[in-house]
Amino acid sequence: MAVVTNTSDLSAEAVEALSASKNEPAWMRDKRRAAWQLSRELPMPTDTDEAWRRTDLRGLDLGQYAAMPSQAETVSDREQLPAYLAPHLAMPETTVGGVMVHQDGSALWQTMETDLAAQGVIFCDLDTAVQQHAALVEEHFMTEAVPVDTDAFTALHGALWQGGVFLYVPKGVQVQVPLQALTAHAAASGMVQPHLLLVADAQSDVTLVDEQVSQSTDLAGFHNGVVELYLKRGARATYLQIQNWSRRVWGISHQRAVLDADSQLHWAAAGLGSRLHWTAQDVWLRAPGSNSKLFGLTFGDGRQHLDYQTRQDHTAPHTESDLLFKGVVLDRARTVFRGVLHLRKEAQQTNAYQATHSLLLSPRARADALPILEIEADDVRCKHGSTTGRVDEEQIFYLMSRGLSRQDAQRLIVQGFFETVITEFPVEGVQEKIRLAVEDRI
Amino acid sequence: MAEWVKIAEVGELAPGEKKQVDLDGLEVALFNVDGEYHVIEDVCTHDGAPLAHGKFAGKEISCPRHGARFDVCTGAALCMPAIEPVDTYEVKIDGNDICIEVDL
Repeated sequence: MAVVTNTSDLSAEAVEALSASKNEPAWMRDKRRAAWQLSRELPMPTDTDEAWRRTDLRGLDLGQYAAMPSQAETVSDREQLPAYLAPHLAMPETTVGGVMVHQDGSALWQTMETDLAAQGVIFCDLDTAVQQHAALVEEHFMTEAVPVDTDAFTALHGALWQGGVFLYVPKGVQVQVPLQALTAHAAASGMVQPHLLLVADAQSDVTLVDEQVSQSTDLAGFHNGVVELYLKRGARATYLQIQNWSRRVWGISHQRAVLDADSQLHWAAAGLGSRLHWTAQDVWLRAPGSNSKLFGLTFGDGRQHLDYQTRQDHTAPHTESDLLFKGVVLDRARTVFRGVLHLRKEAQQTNAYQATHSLLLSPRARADALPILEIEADDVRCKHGSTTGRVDEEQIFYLMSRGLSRQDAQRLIVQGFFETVITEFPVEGVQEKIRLAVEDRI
Repeated sequence: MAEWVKIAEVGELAPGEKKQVDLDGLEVALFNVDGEYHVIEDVCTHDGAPLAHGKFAGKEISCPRHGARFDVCTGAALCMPAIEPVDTYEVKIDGNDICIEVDL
């Protein structure tokens, strides 16, 4: 693969150079060009936009990040991967059917069980998919799930995305073991713009684990990612995501799932890293019988700012969605949860739920919760609930009376608080990772 | 660890003027109150709005979003809907530089 270096500016020339370096077909080059043009025309979000009202982007200077960090070469086996990736790749008690590793937009290493390939499963980097599976990618890439013109960040992503995962599961194929994607950021002040595209064809079943990490905890960078999940008729997909960028990364992520008839999505996300991260996590239930379960876990300390904007958009009758988000905030950190449950006029006989709970561990920590219902249909069942509070001193006292220190007591309470969400990451290795990450920081 | 960071130069602001400064993601606002410099965190404690975008008169800054007022010298919240004070930062004039002590 050609290597692009020293093109640190954001420019039309950079877009052309990037596309040329990958020998992209005309349709993808044209998509990038159109996206670049859009990125020049669309305004940056401001605090007058409701979804951006609680995230202060004044400190974000895109010019200080290298749009195209130096690319790394692929390696032939797992042992040759950079050492810092080893603990992230390891998933205790878990057998995976395939692994894909990216660093700063380069596909470093990928592998998949041969029997999955024989069944027609495609699990490869997005560059390869653009070349070899053009019809599938062209139909789904930034079209319905996350349209390129959503805002200035998606337009920038459409122009300069680098590194991505493509997963296609053919009709009726049941993938019994999870697949694992690891996206790493290693370039100082690098811009990371990964794209994940999952297409689960009719009656298929798949689990994908997607983890995002930085080489070190103080590596500055900017993440502008997109996740698109398509579930065709009767498909079942489980998507588990861990966002654990460095504490000096600013991040924006647009994520959306599109559910066809009778499909079932189980989506669990953990937001642990970044200095500031704004995430849109949406599901679109567009056909009868579709069902989504969303789970979220956020942990912020120091001066972290983690903003989750969710939308459960029901546009068809007989659909169901459920959402549970839990957050713990320490020090001066702030979490924001703004969840919209939108039941359109056509969405009769629909069930939709939403609950969010936050635990404040420091006097200056802050959690904003805004559950919102927009109900246009008149024959639905819809509930939402939200709580925010401090740790109960009586619980602390009880645990301390049993010999625990205050810190251990607090840790135990947080673990208990999170456990109902952690168990919704139905892969043992992922649960362990999250438990350890949280434990380390209390 | 806390360190002294330059945020402006003496003479940059006339009395009654304000300036917003970004320090690696920490937003602060500098005010000139009758020749004395004061710095607060530029985030309303009620709803997180940037205070530097509000109206500054005397030693009071009004939040542009919901009208909460703060004393820029002490950080005190002067009226609803804000009830918590904003953080203030110690200011030092070092030659021609206006510096504040922050832990970034």
